[in-house]
Amino acid sequence: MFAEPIKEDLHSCLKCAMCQPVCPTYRVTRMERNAPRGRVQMVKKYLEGDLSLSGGLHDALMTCILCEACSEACPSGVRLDRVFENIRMELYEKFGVGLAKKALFAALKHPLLLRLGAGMGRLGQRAFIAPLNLGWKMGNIPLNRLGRFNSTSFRRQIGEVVPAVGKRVARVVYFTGCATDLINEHVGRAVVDVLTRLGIEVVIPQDQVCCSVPVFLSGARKEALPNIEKNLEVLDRSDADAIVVDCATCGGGLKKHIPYLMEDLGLETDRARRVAAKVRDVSQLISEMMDKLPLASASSGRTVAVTYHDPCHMVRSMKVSKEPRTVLAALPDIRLTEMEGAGECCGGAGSFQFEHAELSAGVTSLKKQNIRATGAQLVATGCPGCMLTLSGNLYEESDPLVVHTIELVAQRIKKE
Amino acid sequence: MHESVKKELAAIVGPERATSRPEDLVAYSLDPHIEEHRPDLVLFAVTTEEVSAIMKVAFREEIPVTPRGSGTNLAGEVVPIMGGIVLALSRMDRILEIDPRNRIARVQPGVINYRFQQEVAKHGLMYAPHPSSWKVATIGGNVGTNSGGPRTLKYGVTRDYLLGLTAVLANGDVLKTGGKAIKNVTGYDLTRLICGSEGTLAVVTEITVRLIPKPKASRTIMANFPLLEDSSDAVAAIIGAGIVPSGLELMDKVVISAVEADARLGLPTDVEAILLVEVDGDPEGLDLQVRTIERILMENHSSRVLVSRTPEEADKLWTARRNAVSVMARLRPNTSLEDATVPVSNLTEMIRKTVEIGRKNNVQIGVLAHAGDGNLHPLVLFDQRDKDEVRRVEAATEEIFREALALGGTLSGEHGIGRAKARFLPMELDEVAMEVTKCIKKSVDPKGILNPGKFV
Repeated sequence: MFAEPIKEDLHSCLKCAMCQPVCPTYRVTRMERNAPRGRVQMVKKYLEGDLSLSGGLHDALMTCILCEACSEACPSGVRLDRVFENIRMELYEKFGVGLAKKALFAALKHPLLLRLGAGMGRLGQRAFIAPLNLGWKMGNIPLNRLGRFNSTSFRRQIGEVVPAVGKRVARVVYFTGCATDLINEHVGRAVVDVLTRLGIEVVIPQDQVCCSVPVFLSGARKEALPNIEKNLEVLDRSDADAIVVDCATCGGGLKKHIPYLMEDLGLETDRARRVAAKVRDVSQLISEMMDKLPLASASSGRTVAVTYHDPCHMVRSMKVSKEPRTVLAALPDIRLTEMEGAGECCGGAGSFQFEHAELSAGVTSLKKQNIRATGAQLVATGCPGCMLTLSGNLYEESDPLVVHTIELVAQRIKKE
Repeated sequence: MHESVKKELAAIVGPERATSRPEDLVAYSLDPHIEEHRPDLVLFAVTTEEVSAIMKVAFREEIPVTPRGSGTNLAGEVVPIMGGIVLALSRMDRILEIDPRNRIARVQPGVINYRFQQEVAKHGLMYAPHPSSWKVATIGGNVGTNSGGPRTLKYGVTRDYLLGLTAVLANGDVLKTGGKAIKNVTGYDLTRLICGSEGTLAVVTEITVRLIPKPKASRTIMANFPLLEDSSDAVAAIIGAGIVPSGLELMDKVVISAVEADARLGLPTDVEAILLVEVDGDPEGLDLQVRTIERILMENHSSRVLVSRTPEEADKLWTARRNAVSVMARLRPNTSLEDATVPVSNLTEMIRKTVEIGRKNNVQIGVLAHAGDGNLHPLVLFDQRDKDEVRRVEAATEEIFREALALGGTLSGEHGIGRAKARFLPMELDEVAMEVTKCIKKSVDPKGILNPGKFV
């Protein structure tokens, strides 16, 4: 149930509303039910017995994106994200989730089911070309912009160990996440290419499973435990210098949310903290070894304007924002141009964009404006979720292409 | 409230913008003040016509109406203490006109101060009223509370920039005051009467403001003072030298120690005060002003003076002040930010008394001040669940008010009276002033439905 130490935070809310302007959903509706202060006070009143665990409470709390901007803005240090994660567990236990999400949870928990689902999805995409081009949408995203499934699992394609190129200077465990494993194999290949060229041996545990962030952030905290335990077992190895991720959500989960979840549930957190301490975004590793990166030489005059979008789970959960910029700025033929509000949520937030399409569209439209205002030809980011949302919503001819930071790095190193 | 009336009211704005869900009523039962009360209905109006239609029904049925912007006000102004309707104007957030030639703008009440500043800055202009909550607070709320902020010494308060209002009266009539002309002495100054009335006289639905050229540059100077008295003398001497700083902020020993313990900025913890002075204007003139200020600060026994050379350095100097409130707030669960204000010559005495009052009542108090206009911000720390402590806080707060009045000051420099200070009002307003206040209220809101339970 609701963790006692987090209840204490509710007494520190000054009701000052400094969280309001940073909240993406409040910006869209301008209603307290979609603002952090309103939500926190509802939770407080529920715990004090003045509100019940009602549909209204469910609505207010489930329309929160969990972007963590409010926690960062709070002058009195209320950990709003943890308040919301705790109350969602109670809401989940009372209301459950819809059928689609149930199916998704089941798939994320069982690797075989997940791969089967991906396989069926791939067949579906091949068989039903017509609706893809009819402009049908899932949430706000046209079906033909959803991305194609990999032909086979990336992890299987690549195997357990990829040796360093040349002298080995380090060994990392690569937590690929489901997105790279099943959809974005090009991102996975880029990670492996770049890291091995830096002299890093990349170990890809074949028995890693979904990080389960989508499951436990929906409130199903206990149901996520088998996946969490499995991953901690796989990842807690003393022979690895780091655990590298290419997905901000997996990274944020391992680095922050999983230790907190276990703490809230009164579980042993030693192993989770050991793992968390080693988790690094791929851009962090690269930025530390920039001088060793065999970059291609600049071709004269053909620079591309790139703007960088900070995924919520990267900039706030993992506290990584400088490194991807450092890496991008050092690449040849790239001019990095900052957008306004780079750290603001893109409105995707996984299933949020499908469950709350209208609200999500409002949040996304601000992001789109800011991206377009830069005139950049590429948007780089470090989260497959954001990539899906951004590429799914930026489909005008003049819109920039969306790429993972690591793809740009891989394209700009010298060929072996 | 009768269900049929609720339905009638909801029909004015439509079901999407009307709610009586208990969760929403909770969210609109509060502001930063300690007291809370649920309304019966929350309506989100987006036009003057809607507001007027709502007021007509409320007037007929004698239902209390509490207008509200972002709810950042600090004296309980928007807590619907008698229930009824919370009339949220947050969605009425369009900037209607920016006229750089006449240097005026027209906005709806729900426009956020910060966003407005960004827009007028594109024309090289500035909207001077700049409360510390500017990133959150609405212009409508600024008008309702006559917001000030750290720049008031040089630039004045919200009231000084208002040219005209559209406001809906208690009976639903639409009142238009002022206009676009910078000079206007026709009739009573109804614009400025409504400003600062905390929603007790009318619901403001459109605001015409005056803009000024944006200063081209600014410089910041930080000075440490081992003795509080010296910092006040320095403030007087700076103003005496004909310089009007755009910011003149003071932090006392308690605040300095808390900020230093939190952030290790290298602040001296053995001084009684730190002054931050900001001057703005043309870059050429600033150098001379900065040199003069530096000299005055040294002459008044500042132990160290730091001058910013770049905006980045200035930003660094402001870090401590910027973090002060949140650092203090993190020390204890609850914080109340008071705003007793005294004539500037009595600032030192008021700070000394405030510290003494805190000690006497065993209450933690740190003092920030807009030193240039004698506006203190005692930060009172406590835990709301500790009844005895709450009682001591209340006693200390009352003593601070009494002391401010005894020193020729006022209950409130910028936060307003609202609910928090309503019972102290007779300490400052005599019988005649109270009577005139009540007469004004009665003449425009005879049924007393606009924000009842507050200062009138």
